[in-house]
Amino acid sequence: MTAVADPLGGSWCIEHLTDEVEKRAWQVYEELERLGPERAWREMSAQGHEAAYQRQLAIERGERVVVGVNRFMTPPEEDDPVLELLARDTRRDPPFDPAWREKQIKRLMQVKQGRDEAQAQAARRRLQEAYRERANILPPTIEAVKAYLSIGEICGALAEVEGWEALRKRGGFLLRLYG
Amino acid sequence: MDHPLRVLLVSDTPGHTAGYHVVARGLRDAGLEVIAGGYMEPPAAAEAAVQEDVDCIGYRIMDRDPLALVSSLMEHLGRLGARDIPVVVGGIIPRPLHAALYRLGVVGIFPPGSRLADIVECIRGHRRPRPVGGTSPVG
Repeated sequence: MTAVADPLGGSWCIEHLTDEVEKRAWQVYEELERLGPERAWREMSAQGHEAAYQRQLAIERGERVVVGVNRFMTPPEEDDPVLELLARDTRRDPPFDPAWREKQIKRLMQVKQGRDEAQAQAARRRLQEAYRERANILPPTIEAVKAYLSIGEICGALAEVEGWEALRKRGGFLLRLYG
Repeated sequence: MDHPLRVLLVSDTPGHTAGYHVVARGLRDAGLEVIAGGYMEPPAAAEAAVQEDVDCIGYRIMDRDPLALVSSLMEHLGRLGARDIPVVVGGIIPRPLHAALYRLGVVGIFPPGSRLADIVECIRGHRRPRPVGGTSPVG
């Protein structure tokens, strides 16, 4: 079966349904194009929220079966060692070795010392350039990772371009951590 | 007439908001007033709750430590003299943390799979006590 490129090719039913999906997807796409990015985004999230809400109502009415949620439920496991670890008072009894923090910082420093600094800084500049020009930042980000820039340095490079405050407002949680 | 129960909904991180919106919509359809705070840190959530004079805080927690977040929220509510605002949490809350969260003063915990009707009932049952001469008691 897996050796055939398109085992269902020529099946009227499957081909018809595929065409139908394509046709409707294009209709949606064109409608979103017509709205423009701002309104398209709002329209999409509104539709997504509505669908999620209707799904929840259907689950609660029992019309839609979700195994483990409203049918065939398993009782919770009482003595899961991982969960017990989580239940400890982590401030008095940390479930990890506090010395790891120092170890991790040392490892980061070793990586920074071992890398080709010129290559790292070049990657950093290219990333900033792409970000400034609003170009695709994915390829320069991959380049930055390969040049051993840390996540903190990558976020920092972007932050430098427009300022931490602006980036934090848009970027949220991860950037708050590094901010 | 009673004013509709006012609920501040906040979340621990931005994004992954499907459940948040489902709950917001469910509360609204049940006749509650929802103030969508979105992603807020505990001190800001406590302050918003006081300024908006809410009857309840709904805290969606998914990515961060529920005990740390809830104790911080409680602490800031206390600092503002609003420790009587009931706090309901929902989201990814590991089962063994539930007891500790109730000990911190949470009045309800709603993990995935919870029913909207149960959330509404919990909020109605734990509405913030109003001073005498304020809003009339539950009829």
